[in-house]
Amino acid sequence: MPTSESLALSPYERLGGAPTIAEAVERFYTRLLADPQVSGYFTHIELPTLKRHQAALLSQVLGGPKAYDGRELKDAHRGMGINRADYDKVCEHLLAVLSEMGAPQDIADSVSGVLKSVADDVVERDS
Amino acid sequence: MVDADRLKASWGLVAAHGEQVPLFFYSRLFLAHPEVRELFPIAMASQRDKLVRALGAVVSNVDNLDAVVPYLRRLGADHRKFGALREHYPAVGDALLATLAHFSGPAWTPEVAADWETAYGIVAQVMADAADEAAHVTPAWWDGTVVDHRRIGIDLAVLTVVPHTRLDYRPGHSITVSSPLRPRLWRAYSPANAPREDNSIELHVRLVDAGLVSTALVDLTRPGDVLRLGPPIDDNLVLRDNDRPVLMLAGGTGFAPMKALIEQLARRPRPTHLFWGAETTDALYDLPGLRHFEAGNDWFRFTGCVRAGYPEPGIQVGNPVEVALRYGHTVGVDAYVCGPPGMVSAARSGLVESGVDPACIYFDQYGDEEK
Ligand SMILES: Cc1cc2nc3c(=O)[nH]c(=O)nc-3n(C[C@H](O)[C@H](O)[C@H](O)COP(=O)(O)OP(=O)(O)OC[C@H]3O[C@@H](n4cnc5c(N)ncnc54)[C@H](O)[C@@H]3O)c2cc1C
Ligand code: HEM
Repeated sequence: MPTSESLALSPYERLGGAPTIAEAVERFYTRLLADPQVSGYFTHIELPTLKRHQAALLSQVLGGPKAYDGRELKDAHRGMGINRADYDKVCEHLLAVLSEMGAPQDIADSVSGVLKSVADDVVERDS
Repeated sequence: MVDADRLKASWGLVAAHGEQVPLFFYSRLFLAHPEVRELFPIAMASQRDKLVRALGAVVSNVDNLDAVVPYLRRLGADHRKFGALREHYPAVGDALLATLAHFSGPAWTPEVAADWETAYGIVAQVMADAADEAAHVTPAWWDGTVVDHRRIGIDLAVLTVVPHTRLDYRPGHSITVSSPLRPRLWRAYSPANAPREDNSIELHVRLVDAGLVSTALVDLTRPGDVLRLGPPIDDNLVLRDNDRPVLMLAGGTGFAPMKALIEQLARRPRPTHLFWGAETTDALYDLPGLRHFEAGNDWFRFTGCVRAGYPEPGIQVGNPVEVALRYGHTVGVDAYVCGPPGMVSAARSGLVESGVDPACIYFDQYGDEEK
């Protein structure tokens, strides 16, 4: 049961705002780069830029302040040839990080559901 | 053909997930379509959400389209103040369908999905068309300069705002207001005057504890500041054109639209009795003005209703509903009611019990029913 206090707050605020998100992103990339299945997608990218981007996106997905000036998700991933198994793996890492950081179940469920629901915007190959 | 009963059942199923629904909807919307994020308030607390609730309720009512078109047209035109453009509708529709799919589980069949898509398309079309048409006639919002800011007691301010271009409204209307101190947050307030030659609008704003917009308007706004004003939101309290006596029940700043209606009635008087309730006599913040007006207009009566205090001439103890019912004279009246939700619902049931035709009770309430 959400308490009456949690009712007035966005998921972003409930998780602890900007510092929590920054920490989550840090841990997320540590995991991605350590996982040979998906690290290839990230090694040639400027990591600080990507992290900033990801922190902004994550915070705004969780109801934090607008911070992200990116494109439509579909446009942003067009031509990357991302396959489903890799997408699922990346999602798994993100959810693991949220769980490590003590995200309440309702937020974790919501993020997991949303990631599933946008899979088709990102995935271009089934294997 | 869309099966509206099936849509409503489908929406009922999804809405039962409560706060999880807007949480999912906005996450999905902002993840897939980051470009619409900047249209929404800086912080998003899902339980305040009105958009998702309205989306489900409105879209699943397409079988009643004729009845809701006027509302949708007004809503579409009103959405221009958010910066919502025709090209944003597919993003919202996409997020809505994904949300419905997520919470419907096995009940999400291709037929149900197709019905939702069609229904959303129809509603979006009506709203976007109305927005385009309105764009020829009115601005997306009106900038208005605060020319006077009068603090009354500890929790009320009377603001006088002059829109830079003419903002047409009728007595009884509410408009929405946004302060630059609270970007993209809009709240409804009722002009307390009939339209004037100089276009100025008087707003009575009560400070709500920890309220985002009311604190900005009461505590932080100064003459010279520029607010944004939206078009009138509904016609609930607009004066019905007939000769019936008028009974007015107001709680707190629910007095504001009544004052506008009284100014209108003064041009073509009908027997009118205002019952205005507040905590104490001091909180009846326009008492001298009303007494003066009553003395000069034999068609108008005023009774103040206070929770704490003693009866005195023109002031009774009790809430405006009790006091008005005690007084009687409810046969054949048109009743106009405005105030907090509890007061409005008590007024409606009390008036009906005392013989007022439910169809002759017009009301606006300041906020949602307590959940
Ligand atoms: C049609 C209409 C006309 C209105 N006209 C007026 C008017 O003329 N003058 C006026 O002062 N207000 C009026 N209101 C209320 C106004 O729109 C705002 O709801 C109010 O100012 C609170 O906004 P906020 O941003 O300060 O509070 P929020 O930040 O939205 O809310 C803060 C907290 O206070 C609670 N809350 C919200 N509103 C109220 C309330 N009215 N009383 C007690 N608690 C509340 C909320 O549930 C929340 O917990 C009207 C509302 C409607 C729907
Ligand atoms: C069928 C389509 C839509 C319906 C039925 C709908 C309905 C609503 C309703 C009823 C509200 C609440 C208004 C109020 O508080 O008085 C609202 C708010 C809002 N809508 Fe829409 N809307 C639709 C599409 C859109 C689109 C396409 C956009 C643009 C992306 C949009 C942006 C907004 C914004 C920014 C708010 C304010 C939200 C807030 O303050 O939290 N809407 N909508």
